[in-house]
Amino acid sequence: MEAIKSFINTISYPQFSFTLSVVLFVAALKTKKLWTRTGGWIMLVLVTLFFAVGSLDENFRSVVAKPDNVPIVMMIYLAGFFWWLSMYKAIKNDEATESGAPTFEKSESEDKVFTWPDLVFSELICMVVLTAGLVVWSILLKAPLEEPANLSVAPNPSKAPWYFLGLQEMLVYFDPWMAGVVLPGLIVVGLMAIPYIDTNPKGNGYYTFKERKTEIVLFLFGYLVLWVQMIVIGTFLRGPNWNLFGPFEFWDINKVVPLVNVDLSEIIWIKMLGVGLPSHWLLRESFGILLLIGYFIVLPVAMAKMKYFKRFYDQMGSARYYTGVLLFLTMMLLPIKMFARWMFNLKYIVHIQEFFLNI
Amino acid sequence: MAAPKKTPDRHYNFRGMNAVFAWSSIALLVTTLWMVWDDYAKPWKRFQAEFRERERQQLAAEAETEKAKLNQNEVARIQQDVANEEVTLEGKRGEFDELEATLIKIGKNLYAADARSRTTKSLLDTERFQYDSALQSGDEERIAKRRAEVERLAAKHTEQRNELEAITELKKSLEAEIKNKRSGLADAEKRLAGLRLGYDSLQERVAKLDKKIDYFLLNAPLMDFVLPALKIDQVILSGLYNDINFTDVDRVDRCMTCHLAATRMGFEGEEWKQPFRSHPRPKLFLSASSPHPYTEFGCTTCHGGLDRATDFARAGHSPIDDEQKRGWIEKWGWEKQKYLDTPILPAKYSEAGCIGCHAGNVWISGSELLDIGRQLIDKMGCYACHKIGYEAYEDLPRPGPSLRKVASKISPGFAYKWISAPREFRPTTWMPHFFFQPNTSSEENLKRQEAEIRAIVAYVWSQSATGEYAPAPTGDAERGQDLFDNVGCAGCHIRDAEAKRDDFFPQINRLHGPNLIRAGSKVSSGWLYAWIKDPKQYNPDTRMPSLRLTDQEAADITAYLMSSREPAYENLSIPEVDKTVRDELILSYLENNFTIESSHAKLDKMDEGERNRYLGEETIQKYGCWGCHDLEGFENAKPIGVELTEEGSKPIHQFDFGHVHDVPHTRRDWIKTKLMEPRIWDQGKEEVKSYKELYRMPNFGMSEREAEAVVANVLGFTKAYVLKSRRADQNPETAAIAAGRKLITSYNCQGCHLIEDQGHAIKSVIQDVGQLPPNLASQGARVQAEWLFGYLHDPSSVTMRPWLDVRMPTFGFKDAQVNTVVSYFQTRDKTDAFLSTPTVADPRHRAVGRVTFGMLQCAKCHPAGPQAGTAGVTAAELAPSLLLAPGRLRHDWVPEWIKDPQSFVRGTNMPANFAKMKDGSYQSPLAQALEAPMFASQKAEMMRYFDSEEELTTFLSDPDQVVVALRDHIWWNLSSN
Repeated sequence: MEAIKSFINTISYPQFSFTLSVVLFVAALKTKKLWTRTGGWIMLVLVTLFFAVGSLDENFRSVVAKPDNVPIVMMIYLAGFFWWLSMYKAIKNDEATESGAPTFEKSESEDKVFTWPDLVFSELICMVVLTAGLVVWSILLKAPLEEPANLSVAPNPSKAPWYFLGLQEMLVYFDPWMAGVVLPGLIVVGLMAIPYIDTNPKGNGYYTFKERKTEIVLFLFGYLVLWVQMIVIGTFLRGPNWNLFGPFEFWDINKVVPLVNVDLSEIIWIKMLGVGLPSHWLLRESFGILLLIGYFIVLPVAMAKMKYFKRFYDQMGSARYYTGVLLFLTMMLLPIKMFARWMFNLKYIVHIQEFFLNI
Repeated sequence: MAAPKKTPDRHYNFRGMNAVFAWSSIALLVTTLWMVWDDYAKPWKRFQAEFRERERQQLAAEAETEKAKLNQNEVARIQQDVANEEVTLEGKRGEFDELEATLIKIGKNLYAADARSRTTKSLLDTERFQYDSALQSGDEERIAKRRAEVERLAAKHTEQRNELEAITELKKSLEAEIKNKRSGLADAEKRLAGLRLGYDSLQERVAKLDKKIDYFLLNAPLMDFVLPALKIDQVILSGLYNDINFTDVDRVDRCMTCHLAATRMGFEGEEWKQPFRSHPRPKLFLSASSPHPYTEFGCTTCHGGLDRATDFARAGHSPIDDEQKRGWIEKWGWEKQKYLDTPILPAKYSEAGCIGCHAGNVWISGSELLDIGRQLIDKMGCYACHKIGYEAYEDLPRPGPSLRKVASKISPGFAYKWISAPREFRPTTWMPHFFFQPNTSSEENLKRQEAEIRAIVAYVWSQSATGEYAPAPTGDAERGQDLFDNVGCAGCHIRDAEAKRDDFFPQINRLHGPNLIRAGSKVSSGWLYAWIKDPKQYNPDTRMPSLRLTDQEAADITAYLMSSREPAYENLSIPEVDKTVRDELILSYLENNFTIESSHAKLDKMDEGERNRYLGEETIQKYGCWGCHDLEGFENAKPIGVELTEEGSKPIHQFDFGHVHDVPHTRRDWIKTKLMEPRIWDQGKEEVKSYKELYRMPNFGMSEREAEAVVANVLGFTKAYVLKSRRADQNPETAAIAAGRKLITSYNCQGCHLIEDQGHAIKSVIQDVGQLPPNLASQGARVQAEWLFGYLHDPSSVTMRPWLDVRMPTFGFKDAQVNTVVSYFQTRDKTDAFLSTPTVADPRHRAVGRVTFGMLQCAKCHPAGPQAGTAGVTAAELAPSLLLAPGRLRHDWVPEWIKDPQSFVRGTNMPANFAKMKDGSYQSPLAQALEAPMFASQKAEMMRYFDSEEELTTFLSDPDQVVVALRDHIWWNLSSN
């Protein structure tokens, strides 16, 4: 048991868990059996079993059962359930379409029912059940109040509200200006821009996976693998001093991890070229700047010429294509930077402290 | 049963849906009820209901006792009277009926008349206003009309009022008539009620606590917002606040919601357990007449805890040990309040709560643990390394001896052995062990410490002045012992090889100075002789006073002290220093400031002596030796310890518990453990931490109770949560008293004297009560400020009690210090500083004084001259010569003292000649005594000053006159003789 715990602790570190989750994400989308009722039940049982057995461990229990964190456990179930539900319906529809039958939504929309009682009654039931659930919750779990706020004593760890934990996790890898302003801004803008970029009419009013594979994979990657996973990491795995702790690891306030991150300029000028850092920022950061230019300007153009992406370019036209690709590349900057951190201890790609510009 | 048919216009199966709806509705109902119950069933309601019931039972039992005490015959007799009267009245029924009918009729008339009169009055008021308006308009016609109307209404109102008053009178007379006719019955009933008063009032209280239908209705869930019997009780405390970091909030204490008997008396018995016990010491706490009424001070101000909480756990109750914790978890659902910075102090440490308001009061009267703890902090010198920002700990002298001339006192070898382990040489010493502690026990660290000690000695010797002392003259050790015990040394010193420090708890005055064992192994006789003769020649700042010993006395005491030796200790060898280890240590200090290379270069340049001195200086820096010892080169160094001013408010997560898991995570346990085992948090870390990072707080060898006494104080060093204006130490009187007490503690006056009922430590050596130094109760009221000032500067100037062996030493006080003492005594005894010179008394007073002085045999104990006493009088009965009185005593005090000595000094041998009566007056026995034939000549002598015998008797019967006459005799007759 201890061995399993320590194994889980080890693979919980983001360099493993993140890689693993990317692999699992791809594998899951390719495994059709997962998106059946049986598959869903098995997943439900496995996840529940993990929490149940895990709760036997004191450290695990103290984190998971904390009144602040209980909603995040529920969120894991909810996110999983809705992912499963959409995939389940999408795959059924895809199969139906393949055999020439209408989609479920299509056949269902032939029938008409009255708002009352079908809709209103079921809504009423939901309301009643939800109210009862909230009452029970509020009785059983006390409000997680702490001591009066104190300027001179910051709680350790200091955690943002759960919905900001993804942003807080990004701060590990990016400058506050990027992680706190630019990237969240682009997330909002990007979400608003989706309807204007993705004009593909397929999938309107019905679930489908086959007809919108790229769109769905892209969205789910950003939502599940990046956003939800970072909230989960921030909630359950970030302990004192924002150090990472496995789910079965004691939150030792004295834990020390080495901080030896270096900038891209240092890697290139000192490590590879063996000369000192140039004093002028433009020269010093030229490699990083070139890299970013290549990433954001050359790469989209090059991609448009590649076979796989060319059809999007053709379909969407250049304005939509470039906007979409820039947003996509910005999103991908996060996992790229994460991997670069784990592999090369990369601190910043461009580090111009002269203008507080750090990327 | 066939499956229900799915109707075409329904998407769902509605029988199923209805079932779901029904069940979910039931679930909602149940959860709603649960919610109501959860909100209603607060634990404090249970306590209130239980207490109410128990109080009712107790009252009912008391009522029964009261009933049993009633004289049943008396009750029966009066009841018979009542019955008789009732029969009599019944006979006159017709008469009464008629009267009452009339009364009803009059009542109706009265009502009507009253209504008429009121109506007219309001019309009149309106008309007056109209008249006023008319006057403003100047319209003559209107004015005349209005005036007429006002006059008419006024007349009408007067008439109606007359009518009303007539009816009222009539009614009153009728009522009086009825009452008069019933007076027999009323009287009997009154007598009955008087007899049953005690029982009835108890019954009434029981009835109030009876649970009737309204009790259940008013306390039912959802109904209890109207007027519940069970409700939260609270006091709002202005000026006593909660510091919630961004603002201060007045405290609102709700403890009495459950601790229902705390503010009341009568619940002290064994059967009353918490939370239903009365608060102890009601004269001091909580009661309205005490200095701390709960309506002004509340509970959490002193006890800590969350003021507004009404739940056992959330209030912050803290168990004292595991057993209590388990009991509480089981019984009250206790759980640790992680986020509560100020949990309730356990009963053992509850005195810590006093410090919030009394930090500046040096002795907190009535405390048990605090004061001994404060003395320990003082003696052990905690304040020397840890700043404690309270008046009591500021500007105190350094607790250890000066090292400026240490080279002339002891040998470097002795210093090495002493620093290594002071308690090895002198088990009672306050000097702690810095070296060879559990966290510095590896072989490498042992060597480092040897090098450090050697270096400290080298540094101190390099700075110290040297000097040679001629050997002491030969003395007689036996005589020396006698002197040591009786002349006053024993007030501060013991000489007992077996003594353990803890045995003196809580009377630690006797350990004020060192235990003088093994002096022969420590110092030279020459040094000791010179030191006890005049300590200030060695150290001008020493607190050790001079006892004005003669050369021979000093030689005798020296001989006595030097006779105690420990050859084994003298022969202990000192280990050789491992130079590699020492040099590594030096490098580690050098490398803090220089590069590794230049550090090595610097080291290479140093010779042996320089190396030792350099390491010595760094080591003294490291351990903060200058905190306790005056040391050249460290005069202005800052103390090295953590400041303790707000230690009691330090968040628990800032305490380092290291890898120690069996110490509960509370402030008090951390502090106590730290005091007893200062290096414990390094357990298992000696190998991991670098040598310089290891904890260095020294080990004082504290016993558990010593540690707890100190903890009680430190827990009280909290952030201020009491407005300054509400603190007890903020007025000039308390400040003057505090300053005096501080000095008195510092110079250990209580080693010899009894001050504020504490002290007389020397009593354990001086068995004869008559030889004890005096009790200084009422000293401020007793002696003149100028005299006291002079005496404290030079006690040899006057010999008040020539029969005493023990001497008041010469302390060499500065003027400011003497002023502090004088104003302490005067403020304490509520006396003004200066006094006018009394006028010369008239001959009559002086004559009466002379005669009564003789009659009362005052001279028997108060020798009139400098001789050592009178035959047949023991030392205990002797009193100072009265010749000194006019120059020494306050003339306003003397008569009061003669009248009632016990009220000034409890247990004094001065006889009380004037019996105190119950009403507080005094009676003089003299007038009566004078009738005895033996006093005939005295009578005759006095009669010369009186016109009649009656006048003399009146004079002598008045104690106030007699005591003044006695004073006048002492003042004007004795001194002029």
